[in-house]
Amino acid sequence: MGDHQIKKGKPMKKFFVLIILFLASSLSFAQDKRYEAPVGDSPGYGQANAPVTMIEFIDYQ
Amino acid sequence: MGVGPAVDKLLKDYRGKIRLVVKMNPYKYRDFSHTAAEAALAASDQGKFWEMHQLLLKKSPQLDRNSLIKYAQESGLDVKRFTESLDAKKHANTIERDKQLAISLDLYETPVFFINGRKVTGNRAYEYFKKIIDEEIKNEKR
Repeated sequence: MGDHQIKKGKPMKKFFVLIILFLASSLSFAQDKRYEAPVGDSPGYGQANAPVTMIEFIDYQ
Repeated sequence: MGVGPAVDKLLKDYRGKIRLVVKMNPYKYRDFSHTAAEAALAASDQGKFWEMHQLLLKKSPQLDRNSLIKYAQESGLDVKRFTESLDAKKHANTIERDKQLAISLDLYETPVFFINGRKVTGNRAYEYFKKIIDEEIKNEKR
């Protein structure tokens, strides 16, 4: 009887792991949202064809 | 070059991989935010944006008119031209355009970064930026 219960518990565990993985992946999707911010003629540093463009909005004070 | 040591180090470590672009988002209730942005863009007209940008970040919050003129001298600018630009608020439209863009992106604090469009708010640790940049470079290669 006891053995039977343990065997039953395992698929449940897998199910919860799957749910956690699913939640984690949807969270990382949320962080990956991309915004459209045009570079325009703003001052820049580095090559225009660099693979990474980092736009910073700043206040000097 | 950027805001804070993390961004400076990233630009050094990823030479040729990162282009940094600066947008102005001066807070309207601070005394010298607008005039400092004018100073940076006036220096840009003379090809000395980065020299002035660095000085402004280093010397902040000492950004009154006389200090800005002193920084222009230190940056090797034509001071007369610089002062005229500053006093005429020559770049008010550019600053306003950047501010409107910031509003449209729902930005109410500084600094905010967009790394290939991915938003990062505040001055984060080097490792935080590095992780995102490495992902972006990896995506590029695919």
